Parts: sequence; structure tokens; C-alpha cells
Amino acid sequence: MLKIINLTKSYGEKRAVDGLSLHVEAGQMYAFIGHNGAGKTTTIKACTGLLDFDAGDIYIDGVSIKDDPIGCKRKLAYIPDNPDLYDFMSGIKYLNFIADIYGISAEERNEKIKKYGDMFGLTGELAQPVSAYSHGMKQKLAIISALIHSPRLLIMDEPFVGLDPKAAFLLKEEMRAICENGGAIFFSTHVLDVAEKICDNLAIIKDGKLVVSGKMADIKGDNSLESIFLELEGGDNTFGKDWENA
Amino acid sequence: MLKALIKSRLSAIFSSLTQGSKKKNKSKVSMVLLMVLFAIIIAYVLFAMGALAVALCFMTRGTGNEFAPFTIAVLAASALCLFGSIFATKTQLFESKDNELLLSMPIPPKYILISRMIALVLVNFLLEAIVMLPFMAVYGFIIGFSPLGAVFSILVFILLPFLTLALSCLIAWLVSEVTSRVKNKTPITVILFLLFFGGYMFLCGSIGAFAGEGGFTSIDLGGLKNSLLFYWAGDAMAKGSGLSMLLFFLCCAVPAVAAYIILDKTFIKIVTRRRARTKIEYKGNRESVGSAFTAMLKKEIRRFFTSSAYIMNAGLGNVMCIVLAVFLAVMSKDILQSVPFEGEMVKRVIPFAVTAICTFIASMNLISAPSISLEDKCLWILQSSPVNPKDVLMAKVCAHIIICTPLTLVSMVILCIAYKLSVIASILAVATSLSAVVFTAYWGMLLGLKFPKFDWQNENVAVKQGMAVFGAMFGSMLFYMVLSVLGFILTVINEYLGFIIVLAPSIIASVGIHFYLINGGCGTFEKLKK
Repeated sequence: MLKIINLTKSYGEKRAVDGLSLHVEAGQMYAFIGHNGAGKTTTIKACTGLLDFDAGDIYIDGVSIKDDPIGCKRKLAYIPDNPDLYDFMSGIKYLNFIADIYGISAEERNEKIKKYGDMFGLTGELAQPVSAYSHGMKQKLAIISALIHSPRLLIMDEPFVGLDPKAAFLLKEEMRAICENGGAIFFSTHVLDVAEKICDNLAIIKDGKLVVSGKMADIKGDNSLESIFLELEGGDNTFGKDWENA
Repeated sequence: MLKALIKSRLSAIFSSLTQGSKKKNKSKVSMVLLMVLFAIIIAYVLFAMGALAVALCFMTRGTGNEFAPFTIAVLAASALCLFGSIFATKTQLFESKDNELLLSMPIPPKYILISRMIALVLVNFLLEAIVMLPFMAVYGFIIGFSPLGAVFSILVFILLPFLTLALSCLIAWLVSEVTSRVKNKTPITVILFLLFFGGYMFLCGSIGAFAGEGGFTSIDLGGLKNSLLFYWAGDAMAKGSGLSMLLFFLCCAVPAVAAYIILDKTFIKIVTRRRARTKIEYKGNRESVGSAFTAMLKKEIRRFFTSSAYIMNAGLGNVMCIVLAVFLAVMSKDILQSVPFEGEMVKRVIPFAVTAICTFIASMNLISAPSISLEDKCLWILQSSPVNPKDVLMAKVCAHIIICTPLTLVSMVILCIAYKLSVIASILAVATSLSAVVFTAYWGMLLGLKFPKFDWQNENVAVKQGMAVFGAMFGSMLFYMVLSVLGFILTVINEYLGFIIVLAPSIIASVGIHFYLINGGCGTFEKLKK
């Protein structure tokens, strides 16, 4: 579903992402973890077409994002770490705007708006302007707008930040449902417990380079994800290299 | 502590003027262009003020009306300060994003208020200097100051920004008080500012009328004595009158102290007050479906009509167009009688003249120019959506055209009827003015795409500052000024030739920009923020 091949992106002298390769298959929920400034957001933005990259390629469902960016974007949804939405619109106007962009029929959008609005407890607030929303409400609106067009691939940058426990639980449920229906999810997070519990695959990035990637169970074994992550982040990458060699 | 606050305000103002230079080589080029443009504008204004001062000084020298140049200068400077700083005053005082952060720190609120007011006074000083310094220099050279007059001139120069600051603070306070209590904030803000601007222009017009109906002659200028504080300022500067100086001092000090006391007492209440908002319950209405292009077009139009700053800074040409059309229609008989032409020449010149005026005003609308900059933090929505960049750009151009066409059309129809234009002249007049709307939309879009400003903290900065806005405004005004002059000359040869000389370049330039936008422009949009 998502194939990143040798992705390289530099900001001036600094290499933000250095030769990163990753493959997220249909049905997989893939966590992407790393310290602040490791290159997670740069990778995610490159996957959604928000950022150019210097080398490598990214394929969405077999199509290069360089060759057909609009076709690729039609298949994916992106939720940024900080949901800056149009403050001058009401919640419902924003959802309609996104639905129009993705060409969602009236029946489908009405059904989805009701379903997800009720699910995240936002239906009553949809007529309010986005400027009146709290951070959590904006995050919920961004999630609903991402789910409204039934994406095959959901890419999220720190999706649980600002969400209340109930909304976080519902989002996890919805993420599972997408994967069960043949979709795929690739998201970054600092909440290692969440990644450990809900993801079947994991990638750890450090200083722009992929340290380790693969099945969650294979990577962590009997250890906790936290201890593995701290070990890898400690500067000694032998553990990760062992995994790459394995 | 206060010094640190003032320093941070000044650096914020300075960085809002120069922040584009931090990015890439391209931004350095745009920064240089912006500086050159600034220099040209300031040089032009200084030259214009100097020329006016020379004329007025020679006219009044030895007539007893030597105060008149300064009265007019103080009037012009106060208008420039008020119009130039009133939006900044409202946003800096009450809508600054760091208000809550600063209030949470152990800083006396009055320090926050004083630091903001000092920064605004300095902005007013800069604006005042553009008008007052040429007048003072020319006056000193042609007429000469008395020792007391020189001292009072410096005092007036120091005091005037406090008066304009007090007025803009009071207006901003009033607008903030009213809009924090009402639901429809944008239209109320626009109406209040229009009333204020209209009132001030009326006051200036009334003072102009004091000068007498015969025009600005040395004797008629004596009528400016009725302009109270403006006269007192002029009298103090020209004659060194202590009484006039005292009266002008009181006119500045009393409002300034009153403004400070009112703001000091209400500052925390206003900045921490939650906006009045009637909760509208969403009842699961059936939502209508539209195309992606229509959705983006509706989004652009909604953005314009929900922002008072956007309306007042980028769409004021619409209001001016209709006001001017009504004024010219009402005054049509007087204007037709006073034109220095007769017979056939009137028939030739008047249709083109009214069209040129309407066209020029229509070119002052800048809705498309800041529309890319306004995307800023929300640019990710369009860039991560499956939309063709061509549609994004065209939606912005079309929004400008849709917003500006109705009032330009109505204005032109009013003028065609009032000045009894022939059918052919009417069609050409309407087509010419609408072509200006289209050209301005494309021109603004082109500059908005080439020189976006993505580092603003307040929407006012995006719609008022930057190369895109300045270039769109002065570029289109210059374009139509040159075409209008050519048109007037050619109207003497043929009554329709003037229209053609404005219409044809507008269409050709619009078509050229259109093809650039749908080809190279798309790539530029895709690379924004990348």
C-alpha cells in the first residue's frame, strides 16, 4: 500500500531523512517512532505529497507520488500533528468542503458525518465556527474529515495528541477497522504503549536513518517497546544492526 | 521589564517588515524589490508633500495666513497616522497572540499596555514624519521660523502622534467593546470602521470647505482659522503663539490621558473576554454536493466576507467605487458645466473620463493578492488534497472577480445613465471597467503566487504588507494611470479609441497571466512551503 524506497531529504547541509526504505502492506498498522527531529514528520509529509524529496521514490498502491500526485492523494488521508483548519468555516462547512474535494455523494457524506460526528461527540458542535473549537475538537474534526472519504491509506502524525481518552479509544478502533477492511495505516507517535498494543509493525528512525523495522513481535521479543526504543536511542545501534542483519 | 517589553514589540514590528529576508535567495531578491518599492513610494510622497508645501508657502508668505501650510500639513499627517495605524492599534492592543502568555507572567498589565502604546506611537511618528518634515523644511527655507515658532514646531511634531494614537486607541477600544458583545462580528466591525473613516473624511471635507468656495487662494486659506486644533497647531508653529500652543497641547494631552485611563481600566477585561457567540445546534441537515472547484470558490468568498481586516484592506475599492459613482451622478450637472470643453469634446471626453475613474478605483481592490499568503498554516489542506493546483489558483481569481464585479457594474451603469452615454460608449465603458476587475484579479494572483508571505502571526500582516500586496496595488494603479493618460490623448482623435487603449491591454495581460498560471503557476503552487 505504501512503499518508500531510499527516501532522502536534506534541509541545507542537514540530512533530515537519509536513504529510508519501508513497506507498509494492505491490512498493516505501522507505527513510526523516533526522537524529536529524527525525521518522522519529514517522511510523513513526503508520503502525502506535502514535501519534495531529493532522492528515492514513494509509491501509494503501486503508483509513484511523483508520477501521479493527484491519483495518490485520492487514495490517502493525512492528519497532521497540529490540525490547523480553516477558522472561518463552521465544522460542517469544513466537512462538506472536504467531501466536495473528494467527490463524495450526498448520501454517503450525510451518513459518514452522522456516524463519525456521533462517534466523536462532535455532531452538536458542527454548526460552530472552527475558530471556537478547542485543540481536541479540531483534532476530532481533522479525523472525521480524513475518514469521510474512506481512504485506503491513512497517514497520521501524532494522532493521539490532544484527544480525550474516549476519542483516542474510538480512533484506535477505527484504525483497526480500516486495516481489517484491507486498508493500511502509517502513523508516528511518542506514545509507545499505544504503538505496542495496536500495531503489528514498527519502524524506528534515528537522525534520519531507519534503525530497525519489521514485525512488532520480532523486534521487541520479550522486552517492552520502551526498553527497546531506549536501547536503540542510546547511541549504540548494534541492536538495530543485528535486526537489520537478521 | 518595561524596556524588555518595548524591545520585543519593536523587534516584532521590525521583523514583520523584514522577515521575508530570512528565507532563501529568492526572498532576498523580493526583499530588495520591496525596499526599492518602499523607497520609491516614500520619495514620491516626500516630493509631493514638498511640492505642496512650496506652493502653499509662496501663496501665504506675507499675507498673514502663514499658519495655513502647517494647518494643512497637520491635517494630512493626522489622517495618514489614523488610516495607517488604526487596524494595527486594534490588533496590537486587543488581539495580540501573546496577550494571555504575558498576562500569565508576573508583569503588571499596565506595562504590557504601555509597551504596546509606545510601539504604536513610534509607528505614528514615522508616518507623521513623511508629511511634516517636508513642510517644516520648506517653510523654514521660504518663510522662516521665529525662535518660539521653531520650538513649538518641534512640540507639535512630538504631540501629534499622541493625539492620533489616542483617537485610534479609542476607536479600537470601542470596536472591541461592541464586537465582543455581538454575534456578527465582521459586518459590525466593517460598518464601525467605515463610519469612522467616513466621519473623518467628512470632517476633512468640512475643513476644506472653510477655505472658501473659490478655491485655495491666499485670502481663502484664511478660512482655515475655523479648523480649531489644526489652526492652533499651524498658528503655534508659524507665529509662535503661546495660547495656540497651549490649546493644541490640551487637544492632544486630554484625549491621550483619557485613552490611557480607559484602556488601563478595561485592558484585561477585553483581552480575556470570551467572544459572545450564540451556540447554533447542528441538526443533521442534508448536505448539498458541489464540485471541488465550487467548494474552493465558496471557501475563498467565505474567507473574504468573514474577515473585517480582509474586507477593509483588500476590498475597500468596492465601497469607494459605488460612493464615487453616486457622488459623480449627483454632481453630474455641475461637473458637466464646469468642464473646460464644449460641444463635441464634452461628448468625447466625459464618457472616457468617468470610465477611467471607475476603472482606476476598481483596480484598487486587492482580494486575490494576499489569498495565497492567507493559506499559510492551512496550505497543507489544499496541498494534500487531490485537487489540481490550476483549480486552486483559478478559484482564487474567480472569487476576486465575483466579489468585485457587481459593485463595479452597478457603479458603471449609474455613471452611464447619469452622463447619458451612448449605447456603444456604455458597452465599452462597462467592458473597460470589468476588464480592470479581471486584470487586477489575475495580476494580484500572479504576485501573490510569486511573493507569498507565510510568516505572519496576524491576518492584518498578510493582507496589508508584503511584496504581493504592494506590487498589486501600485502596479495596477500605475498600469491604469498610464493607460488613462494615453486614452485621454487618443479620445481627441476618436471617442472610442480611449476605451480600446485601456480595454485591449487589460485583456491581453489577463490572458497572458492566465496561461502562465495554468502552466508554470501550478508548479510554483506545488512547491510552496516545500
